[in-house]
Amino acid sequence: MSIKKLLGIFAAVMMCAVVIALSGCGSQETNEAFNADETLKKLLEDVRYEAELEDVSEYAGFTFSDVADGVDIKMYAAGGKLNDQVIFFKADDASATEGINNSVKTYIESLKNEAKLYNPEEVTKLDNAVIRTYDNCVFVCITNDVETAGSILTVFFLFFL
Amino acid sequence: MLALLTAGCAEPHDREGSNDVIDIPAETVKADLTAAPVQASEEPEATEIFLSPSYPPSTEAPKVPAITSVSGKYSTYDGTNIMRVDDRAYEMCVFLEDETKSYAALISDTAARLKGKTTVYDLIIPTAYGVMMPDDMRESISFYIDTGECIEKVYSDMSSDVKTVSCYDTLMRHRDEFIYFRTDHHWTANGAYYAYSEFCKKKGVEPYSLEGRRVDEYGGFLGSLYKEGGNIPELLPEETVYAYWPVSENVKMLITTAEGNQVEEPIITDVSAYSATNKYSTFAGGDNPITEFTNDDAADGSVCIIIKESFGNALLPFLVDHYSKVYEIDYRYWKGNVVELAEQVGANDLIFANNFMMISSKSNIGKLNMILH
Repeated sequence: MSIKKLLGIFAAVMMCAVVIALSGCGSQETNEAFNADETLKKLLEDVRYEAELEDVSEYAGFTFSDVADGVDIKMYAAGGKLNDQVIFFKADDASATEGINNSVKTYIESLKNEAKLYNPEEVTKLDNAVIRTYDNCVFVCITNDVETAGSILTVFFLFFL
Repeated sequence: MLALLTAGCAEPHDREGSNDVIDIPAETVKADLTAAPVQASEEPEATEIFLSPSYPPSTEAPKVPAITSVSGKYSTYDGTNIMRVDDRAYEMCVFLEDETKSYAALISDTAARLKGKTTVYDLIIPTAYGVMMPDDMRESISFYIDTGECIEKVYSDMSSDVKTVSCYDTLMRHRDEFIYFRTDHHWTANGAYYAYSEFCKKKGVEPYSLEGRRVDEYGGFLGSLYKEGGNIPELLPEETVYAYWPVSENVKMLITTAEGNQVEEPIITDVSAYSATNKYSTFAGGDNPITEFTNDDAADGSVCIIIKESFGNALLPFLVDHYSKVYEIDYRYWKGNVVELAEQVGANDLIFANNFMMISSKSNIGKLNMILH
């Protein structure tokens, strides 16, 4: 068998492997949970923030009290004058994400109004907030390291397909 | 932003473009303002600034001075929340009931948890938008909201455990005085004094007079709205920040900075060398996570905690006269627990001094919640 043929078979096998991987092994629910958790972990570990992010998830329900019941929220924030933060919403189904996005929009708008008066250097960071919605999940990442955050969330999107 | 402005208000008023000038026909337009801007070359006489002709209160029914715009127009500035009428800038206000209900619930809950130990006061501070807006503009702008009514609505959502302090009417009666800056979103020390007086009334104590106090003057002030609007020329000339010292002579201020350092400074900072935008920092050291005031002239051991953003800074020089100890907390920057602190220091009073914009701010109410639970 020629090398060309071998390479062709190898490529075909790899393609099959990718298709199988993307279509998922096991339940869709397991893959979605795995990917979201991994993505959240990457956002927290691989993205550069101006200060360490603290887990303030216990307070997130109050801040986003206008989202639908049953939405799980994880929130990590730098605090103080810095607006660096990661927020992850996971709803029971995709119908809740519109409400989540509206709430996020109001939240970021209020951060911006505050920043304009007290911390103008934070306004650009807030303008560039990375917000991505995937089915029943919404990710929010506020950072100067927009490129890394964006690429992490793009990979998640591809994984999610 | 405009969508938010119309929440709970009349029909929306859509505009596009930068530096839009909206021509609102006024019923009458007077050639001169009742509150004329201070010219850089002429300093007003002390009595005009420090003592209102109508204060202390007379026995006559209080009147609200009329203010009518000169131009009958307002301008807005793209990417900002700023509105300008003649030579005064305003930060446009919204009233979001979902958020204000959350705020009211937080305060009520705190008061319930401290009941019998610490008296909880709530002072919602009107901004210039609610007090200084000319009457013809208040009537003509479709999305204008009545700050006084909104504040009373929020107070009505609070439990009876909270002692609410209404200062809107008093500020309106003194709106022909220098109670708000033209170029900055803050009030002046005179504006803060009137709110302090209302707090004293609620508490059942006499306010100390402005008369005879040491007062520092810092000219050349061009505040936040001037700067945020891109150095709006119509807001010139510069203003003067007048900062009153406490009546007590032995007040010490200890600031804990964001880095955790402790710095002792006078309660009124000499801001002569500060930039034009930062003169408001003269009050109580500016915005720090927590600041401790000790008044050796007040020997009764009384303790107060005040939870604030920057409007509250101008209240401190007046409040410290009434307590042996005051803890000033900026909830945006402090990481602690107020209820625990109140119990730990034996606070007699806990004052929430929050400006009108804050009570509709999702993020700020979220931050306030973090230090209350």
